[in-house]
Amino acid sequence: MAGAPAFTPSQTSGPYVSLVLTSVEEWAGSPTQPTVRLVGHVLDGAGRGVDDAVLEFWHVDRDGTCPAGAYRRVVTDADGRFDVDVADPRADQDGAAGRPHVGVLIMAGGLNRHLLTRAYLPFADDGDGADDPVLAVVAPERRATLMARDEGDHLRFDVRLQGDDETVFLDG
Amino acid sequence: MADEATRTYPPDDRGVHPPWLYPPYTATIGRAPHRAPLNVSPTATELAVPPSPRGWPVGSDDLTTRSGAPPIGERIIVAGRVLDAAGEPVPGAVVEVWQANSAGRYVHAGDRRSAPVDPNFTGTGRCLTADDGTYRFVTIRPGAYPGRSHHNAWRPPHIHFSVIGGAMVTRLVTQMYFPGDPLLDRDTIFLAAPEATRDRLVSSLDFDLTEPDVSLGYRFDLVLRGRAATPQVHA
Repeated sequence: MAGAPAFTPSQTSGPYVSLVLTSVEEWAGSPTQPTVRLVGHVLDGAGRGVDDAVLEFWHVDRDGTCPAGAYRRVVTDADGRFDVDVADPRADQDGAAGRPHVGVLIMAGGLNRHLLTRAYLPFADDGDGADDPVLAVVAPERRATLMARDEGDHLRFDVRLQGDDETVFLDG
Repeated sequence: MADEATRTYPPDDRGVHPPWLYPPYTATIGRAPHRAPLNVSPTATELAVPPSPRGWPVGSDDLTTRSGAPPIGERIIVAGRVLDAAGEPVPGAVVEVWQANSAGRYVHAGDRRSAPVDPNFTGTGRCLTADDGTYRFVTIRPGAYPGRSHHNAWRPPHIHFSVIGGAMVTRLVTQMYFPGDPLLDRDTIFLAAPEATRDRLVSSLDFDLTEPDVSLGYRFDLVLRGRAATPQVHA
């Protein structure tokens, strides 16, 4: 039958999503492998922080399994900032096709549907990422929006919802 | 660029979901991405299945027993099934809900409206779907409350749902509304959904779910995005 599939449409998570979509440690467990700290802001088209946005992070290992503790959730503060320790995907993804990365899902008031993207760990070589199946289809000048940047004791990953340097989102 | 015919999941837009930009819902104007999402076939990352919870404290699915006294409000049961696009039940799905109290107030620091907080109601619940995909919450009917989208905007009573069922690619966050509500036709969030799909957001009064003398029952099924079917030629 033609026409729209019968699945349920999305609606915004709204501004009060953090009432229940908080840490998942209680039920999804804590990372047992080394972690990396991801710090960043969710920013709107005017560069203002988006508060009470919820971000989810996860990764899969070589076999496509999401290891225990690799699924994390965090809420942005009044400035749109988040700070979360995620399981380091690099050991789990060693030898896998593509560059080490974590999946990222963003929901917030004003987003009628969540957004999907990914954060790549800094490359160990000077490659441009064209050997990664997803980065390969991202215009080279926009790949930086998917890269977590090393800032010493943490990695920075900002999400820009809109504008010239808008994050690349995926229709995954 | 991913060829549609080879994708495990078809592009998720196809007129089911509201567009990111829907100007009558003014908050979308500054937050909707300007560029269409990149058409990539889901990889193992997007197809990942998050770890299943072992469970929650008893009563996580009953929003009326968070303190010694019951919350003020019309008691209701909200139940239904989580299904995949083929109509098969999704067992073990994580269903999380949040809602305003009967006066239309959330227990959230960001809700500074004058409506009263109910000390016996947090408005949050969690459960896991059973083997047949069913879930069930005991709660109270939420109140309408003033919206922010425009002058004299009122949000119809609704319950927010988050579902993690199957893979990350089928993640769903939505809202459930009540049948026959005249506020629906004025609500810019509800109206953001394409007209053909809006009725899927409205629960139905179901006397098979009621508890006589205690509680009315509303049925709300959630259907998750489905894998691509075998390509077919349409006349």
